[in-house]
Amino acid sequence: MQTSTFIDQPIKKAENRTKYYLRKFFQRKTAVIAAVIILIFLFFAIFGPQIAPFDPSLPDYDNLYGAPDAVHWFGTDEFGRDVLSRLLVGTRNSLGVSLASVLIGAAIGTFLGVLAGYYGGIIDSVVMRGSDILFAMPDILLAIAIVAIIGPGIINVVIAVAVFTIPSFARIMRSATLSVKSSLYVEAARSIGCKNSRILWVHIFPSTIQSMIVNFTMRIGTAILAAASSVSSVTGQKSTNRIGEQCFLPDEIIWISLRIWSISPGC
Amino acid sequence: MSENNLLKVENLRTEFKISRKKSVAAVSDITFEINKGEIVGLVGESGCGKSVTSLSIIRLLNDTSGEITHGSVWFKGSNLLKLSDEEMRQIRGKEIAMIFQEPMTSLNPVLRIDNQLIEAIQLHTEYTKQEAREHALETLRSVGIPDPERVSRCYPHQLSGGMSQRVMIAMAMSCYPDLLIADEPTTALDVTIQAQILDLMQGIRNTRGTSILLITHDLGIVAETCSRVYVMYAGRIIEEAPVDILFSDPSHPYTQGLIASIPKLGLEAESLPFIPGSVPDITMMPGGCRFHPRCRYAMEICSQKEPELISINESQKCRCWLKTSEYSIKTENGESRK
Repeated sequence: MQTSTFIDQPIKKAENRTKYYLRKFFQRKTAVIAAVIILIFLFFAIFGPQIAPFDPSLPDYDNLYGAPDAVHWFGTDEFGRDVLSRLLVGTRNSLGVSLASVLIGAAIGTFLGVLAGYYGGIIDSVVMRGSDILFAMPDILLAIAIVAIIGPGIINVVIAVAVFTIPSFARIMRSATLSVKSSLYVEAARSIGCKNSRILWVHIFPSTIQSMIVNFTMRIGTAILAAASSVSSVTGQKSTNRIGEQCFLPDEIIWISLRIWSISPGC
Repeated sequence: MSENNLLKVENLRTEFKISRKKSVAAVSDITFEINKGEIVGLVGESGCGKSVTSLSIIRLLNDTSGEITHGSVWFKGSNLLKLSDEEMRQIRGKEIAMIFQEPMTSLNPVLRIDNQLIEAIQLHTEYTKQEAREHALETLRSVGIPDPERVSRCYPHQLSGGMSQRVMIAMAMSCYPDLLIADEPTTALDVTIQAQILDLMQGIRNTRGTSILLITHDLGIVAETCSRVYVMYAGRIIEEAPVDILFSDPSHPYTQGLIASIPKLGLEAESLPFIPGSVPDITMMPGGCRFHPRCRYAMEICSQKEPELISINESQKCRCWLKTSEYSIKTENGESRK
């Protein structure tokens, strides 16, 4: 009996794995608080338009630059539109655009990075020099420039932000691949006759995922800012905004914090 | 090439690029053969080119700067060095399998054991996943793993070193290869597990007729398992002998030094004899015989010209000037020369 307990143990753990993860998760205060914040934003993203007290694009010329009061909790902007409503409605776009663009950028960047790291040689040089070129330009400026070239619109903003997300993923995934590539189990996989494609996606890729996830979460914040600034700088969004479609969260936050409250996110 | 022959390596030379224009030969003039059902030892100290030789045979040098520049590797009548990458991939795992020095890191840490075994099986057979799973469990059982169902659901970190090496052997044996290359299979394991793993490998040879190339620096393991031994020094094979002759009558001064330095039970010596000096750096190989700076019989010719590997009797070959006809007389009065 003594000998088999060592094998027994991990299996038991595996049986109620979900429970185990949940317990570990709730033991960490930071994780719980972060999850709550994300859930709140998700709630606003889904139900924002329903709970917004005003039409976000309805001007009220009697109440320009209104300070926060009982009616307009966050005040009004230069056209007298309710800032709170604009925030609530804009959340969906901000999250959507940033998630979509980072997802696309991460997918392309990961693919290129893993290929570059695994095959080396000319593929490596081309991918890495390409990233160097993109890295040479400041992120947000690059996004603004791309939007200026291909024109405004939500899809184009997503493309622009995705493009400047690619090199950071490519570089991180390349280095992660390099370190896994020389490990013995990859050599062992090759020694039993694995195809390159299988070694890449079954043996190497899963071990590199954690570095990708960290970068993924960090890039979302940058993406929100970049998306917002590329839209507002190129289209002069403030004056031409007709519907809530093009209003973005951080702009409004900057707007608020400049005037009344110093709340920090995104500034 | 005789009927009984499985693998024949001829004049193999593998070079590594050290700069854009310069490359050095890690091994050269490697010639050896393995017969069906034979366990052959390849012995030498660290850095003498044992692993490079084995990697050259199954052409796993692509990721390094190494390149096979000369020679041929005959396996079942075809030259492995001439095969396309795809044909070579078909042979790896199916006809020639390999097990590595460190079992703990040879398994992918993020995949469960069964998935890795099934992968190996499905690569070379037409089995469905279910059939492959059953075959995997059977192989695990055959390498002496208790309760294979349970072990197969474990991740590699849940297994001990000996268990991992058994799993690696199971994986290597899952497609019944004709040749198993074992690159220091027991170095990372403790002594009792070592004996078990060696037993297992001998068992496989006896039941399946698998030939095994056992690469090691441990002469004890060689004495226990091999029938013939090749001794390597600084990228060359310097002696070939049946295992009993190697221990009773080693011909090359290096081999003599190696055998002399094995501690013997019951012998109360102040210190063990050893070979002075160390293996030369690969980029600064001495001219002539590569062993001459450390050899106590070194003569003038040794530093000028490299000896060939010559037969000194029907079963033994040696790469030493002392064994050639021109210089053999001097061996007798070798002591007076000093």
